[in-house]
Amino acid sequence: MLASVLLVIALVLSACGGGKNDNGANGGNGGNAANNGSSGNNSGGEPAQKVQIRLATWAGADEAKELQAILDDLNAKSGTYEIVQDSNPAEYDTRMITQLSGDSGPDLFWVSAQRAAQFAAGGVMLDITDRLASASHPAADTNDYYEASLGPFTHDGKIYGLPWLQQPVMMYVNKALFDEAGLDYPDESWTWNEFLDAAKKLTKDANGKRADEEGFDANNTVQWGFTLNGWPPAQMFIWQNGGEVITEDMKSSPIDTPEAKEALNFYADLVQGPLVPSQSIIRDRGFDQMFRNGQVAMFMGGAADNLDSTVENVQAFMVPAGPGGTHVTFGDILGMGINAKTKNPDAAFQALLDLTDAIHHWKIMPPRKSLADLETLKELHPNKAHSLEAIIASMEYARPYRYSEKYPDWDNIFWTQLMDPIINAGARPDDLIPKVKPLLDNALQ
Amino acid sequence: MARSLAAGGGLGTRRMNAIKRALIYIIVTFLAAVILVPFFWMLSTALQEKGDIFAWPPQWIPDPPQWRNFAEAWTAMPFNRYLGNTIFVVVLGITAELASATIVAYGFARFRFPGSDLIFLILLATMMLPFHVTLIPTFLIWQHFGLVGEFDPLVLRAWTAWGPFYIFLLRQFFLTIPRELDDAAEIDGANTLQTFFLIMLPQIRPALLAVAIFAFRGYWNDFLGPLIYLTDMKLYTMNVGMYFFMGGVNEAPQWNYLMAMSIIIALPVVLLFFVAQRYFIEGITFTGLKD
Repeated sequence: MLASVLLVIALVLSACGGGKNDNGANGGNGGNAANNGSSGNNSGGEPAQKVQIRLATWAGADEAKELQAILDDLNAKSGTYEIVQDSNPAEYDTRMITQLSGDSGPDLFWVSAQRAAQFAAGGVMLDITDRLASASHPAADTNDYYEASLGPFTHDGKIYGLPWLQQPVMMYVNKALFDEAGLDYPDESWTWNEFLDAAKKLTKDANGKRADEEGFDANNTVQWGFTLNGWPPAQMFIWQNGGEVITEDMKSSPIDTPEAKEALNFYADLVQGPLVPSQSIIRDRGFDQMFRNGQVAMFMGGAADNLDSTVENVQAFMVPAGPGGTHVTFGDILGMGINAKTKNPDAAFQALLDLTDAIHHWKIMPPRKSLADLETLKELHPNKAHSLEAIIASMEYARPYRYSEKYPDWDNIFWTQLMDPIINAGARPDDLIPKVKPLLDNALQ
Repeated sequence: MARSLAAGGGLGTRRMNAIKRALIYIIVTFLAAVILVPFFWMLSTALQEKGDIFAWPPQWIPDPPQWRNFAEAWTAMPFNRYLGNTIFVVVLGITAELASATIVAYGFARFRFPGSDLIFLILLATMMLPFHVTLIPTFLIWQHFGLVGEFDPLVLRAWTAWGPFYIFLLRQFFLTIPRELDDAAEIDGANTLQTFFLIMLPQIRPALLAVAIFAFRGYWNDFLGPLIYLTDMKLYTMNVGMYFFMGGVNEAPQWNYLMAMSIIIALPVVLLFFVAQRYFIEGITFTGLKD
């Protein structure tokens, strides 16, 4: 009996496996490359035939379509590679970590700055230092990149990937509400003080009373000057005030310095005060949606956000400087790396350069100084033309977090133990800092 | 007189019963409402104009309802293809599940061999391992066979009788069938295979149906499997494809499309439940022929 059962299973297995393999060879690769691929030798030395390069991204529906148009163009031009897109915004990290843990990961993949720092340290991404040095490609010139943008991809002096986007946090302003309040638009000279004054004049109740006027009813607010829900990050304000959340040697977390304390109190006053909607209102009505509807006058968002191109009277300005005039903004950096286990490192590197350059011409803001030219960018992004000057200026002082392998643990404590109580439970920084600092320091050890 | 007395007594208990029932209905209606509100919100969102989803105050009944969201969502990504892929995986998966689980369950129910209890226990113990724990090891095994990126891991795994719950369910069913039936078949000259196919399988039809329904639900709803194993956008299933509407780093989620696709994907499972709910329950409680 047992034997017959085994026989049945074996038969079924082989039948199914055989059928599926045929299927795979035809369907999986498609076109000429398929025969080459199924004969088991994809790497085949000379690129006499185009090599298939699999690209994993987190692109959503619209982004994936735009990306495909770019890939079709690159594939048509290239004699060495054929990039196949494998996009999905769902569980991108889980997916990448699982696939990269084996040999079947993608050849190229999009990566966030935080993951890039981990992957570079963990040897997951291919070291491209020497290849970059010997390549004569516009995207290969490391001196052309903003220094901050290469940081997450650099480990021990070696480069493991290239950034395709660095978007500084900008202050999106509803100019109609500024006009109505008789305010000048923000400029370079704005510090926290000017920002606070403007926010007070832009916050009004149902009776039309402004927040700096006698008889303002904070329980009946219909328009807010600003909005905060953990975003923009408190780190940015601490930097603006001359403080740090992680020291340069990445060994401790100096959130108890006077600068950091003052900035955290500034943040807490804003988020708990009348100039910003309560967290429950933000949850109900949508964070950026309130800005789009004209219920919030100033909103901080990434330079690539479409608030200025899809909402009337909205323009992006530099975020206000700290009280001492220090300009800093958070820069979100995204990039692309090559799987260290790729079978086709040469073709993958060529694809990396071409695609990185193409994305630099597609998205705001390319992390390259040579592309930070107002006229060029206006031509590429006419619908954001009015904001570009401020965006380019912000590139000079945008910086990412100090990522390391220990960053995720640190980040978890920072958000759950410090920021969450401040934002959602009305806790005060002065009470929390002495308790949270040792935890943060410990996470970095 | 006697009649009216009796009637009066009956009225008392009947009134009590009526009140009890009314109470139960009120509670059940309330709970149903609590459960249905999110569904209603899902439908409402699916029919909203993009800008109206976060309108304040919320618009419960979209005016006018945007039925075209369904068509637009379907065509925004190649969902015809995704549906075909899903059906392919579901059909092969259910077949594999049924065939492998039945054979293994029959073995555990009818054949005693050294260590059979222990093996059965180990099999049941695997139910306690969460999917995520075995995710990477299983992935590495499939990769070793060079099958990652294809449908194979999603379908072939079922041939290894990997569903302990189905095996357990079917084994319990087989155990309720009296051995006299086997003996009778043997006396009539049936061999083991004939007994299995001609005598046993018809007896456990309700259980097979229950397993098929569970398996359908499992394969239809499976998300992490296709997400991890499929590496070609052309091979995506509906569930994975739907996530394109979640947006990206600077792309806002398209909630109306997402909800429209969620409804389309949920519909077969809901319909199946209404059609087959008898078997859902029967499969677990009703136990075929009794001694």
